[in-house]
Amino acid sequence: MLKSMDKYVAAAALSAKNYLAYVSEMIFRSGFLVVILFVFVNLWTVTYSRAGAEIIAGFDLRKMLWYLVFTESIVISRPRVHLKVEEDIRTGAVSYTLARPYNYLLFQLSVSFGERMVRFISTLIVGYAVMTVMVGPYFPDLSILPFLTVTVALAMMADLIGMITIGFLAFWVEDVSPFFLVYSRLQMLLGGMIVPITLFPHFLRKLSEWLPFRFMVYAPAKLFVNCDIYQALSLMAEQIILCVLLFLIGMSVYRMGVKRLDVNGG
Amino acid sequence: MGLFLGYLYINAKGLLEYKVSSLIALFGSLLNSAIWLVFWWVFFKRFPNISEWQFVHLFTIWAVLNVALALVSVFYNVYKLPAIINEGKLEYYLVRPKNALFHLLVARMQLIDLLEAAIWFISFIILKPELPAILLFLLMSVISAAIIHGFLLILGSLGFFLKSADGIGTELYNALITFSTYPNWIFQGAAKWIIFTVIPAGFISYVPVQVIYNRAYLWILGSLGFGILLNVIGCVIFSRGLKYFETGNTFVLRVD
Repeated sequence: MLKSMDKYVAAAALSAKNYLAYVSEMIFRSGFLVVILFVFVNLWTVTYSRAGAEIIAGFDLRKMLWYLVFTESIVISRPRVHLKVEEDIRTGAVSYTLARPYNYLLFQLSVSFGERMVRFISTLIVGYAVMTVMVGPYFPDLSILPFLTVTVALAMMADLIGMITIGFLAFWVEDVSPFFLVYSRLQMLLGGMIVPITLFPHFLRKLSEWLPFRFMVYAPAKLFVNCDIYQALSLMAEQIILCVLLFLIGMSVYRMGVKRLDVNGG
Repeated sequence: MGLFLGYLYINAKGLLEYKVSSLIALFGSLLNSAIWLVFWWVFFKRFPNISEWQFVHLFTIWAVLNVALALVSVFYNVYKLPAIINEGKLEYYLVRPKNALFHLLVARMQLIDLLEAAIWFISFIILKPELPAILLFLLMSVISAAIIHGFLLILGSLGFFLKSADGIGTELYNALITFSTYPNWIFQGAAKWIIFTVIPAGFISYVPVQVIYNRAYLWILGSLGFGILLNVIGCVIFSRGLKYFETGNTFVLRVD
């Protein structure tokens, strides 16, 4: 089992290595992240000050801002794997992969995961630098770092499997971007990217708790600012179940799609 | 005017040809705005007394911005100016017996955005069904469009002088749009000045709210003057750039 996973690990490592070549370019093109963090610092500083509250939705001001650095880094680092899958299906390239000794979903997951890790780390470095200048440095508890790393990796995997599954819809429709748009926007709000879900009114919070998005964004970011090992362990268990569930859904969609694959010419 | 109407007809035909992808783009834009409006609704529900602004004010700045952006989309090439200059696509407009800048600006229109503008406009009417407010909303949307257009024209015309104008322009434009969707009272110190000078988002967010809700009519003149100034500066930089411009030997196939 472990041996059969070697090729996926190698694909992820190769993808990460390829993407390392673009790190400096990506850091210099992080203008949007700088702007959005600047706006968030202003918004929440004024909000905490005018509300006269030390803690809002379970976060003090510094934690709220560092939480947002983390959520932005997770979401901005997302590669466009759904478009790659869509292109493979639309051009018929997916048919060549049928004979290859790998699982297409796992292969796309490995490649996109390698790329995303590099993008995430470089985005986080920029975000960390910007926030350090604005509000001072933040040092998470070192003991939480291994758990945080695993949690972030699982969050990204769950998200990427979701995106690849959306890409598989190209077996039925010409353009999958509307589906991704709904997915990404729901993740943005109900996943807790722009605001922690604990700030939501009751019904929105319930909705968020029923959907998988909070495991992809809110939960790892909360762990970053609230270092709690027991919380990390239960989160990891929930994320593993989510990844397996999403993988099974993704594979079902893929198998249904491949059955109706019809490639002309060559 | 004939040139404008001609391109309007061609672009409208193009819109009908690709209506599904246009509608998808419209849906995406509306969904994105809706998510942000839910965020602001949650924010003001949680902090109702944070300022004199309420959700309705935030909705107004989003509506003004989106209607303004739709109007700018009628001159869609203003977004593409650096690419047009650097990729050898400007020459086509230079050899025609028309004003090159006006010709290239109207050559491409994203007319689906006008449908989005109509949706925002109707939403605003439902929210505030008062004739003076509706007229002021329209006026401020047009002025905001002039400001955004002038800002883009300046940044785009820098493409004559800077190879990296496209990247810098995109970053500054994104900053303008981001700042325009937040209330001005969150900005303190130097940021307060920046949003009325380098990145004139204050004219697109704060000013329309002041005019529509507080009837601060003097701001109309200030905003209008600033919009005209930006466009005049943009035209001057463009014409200076044309003198500086040297054509290359790139062969470009023009299919639109």
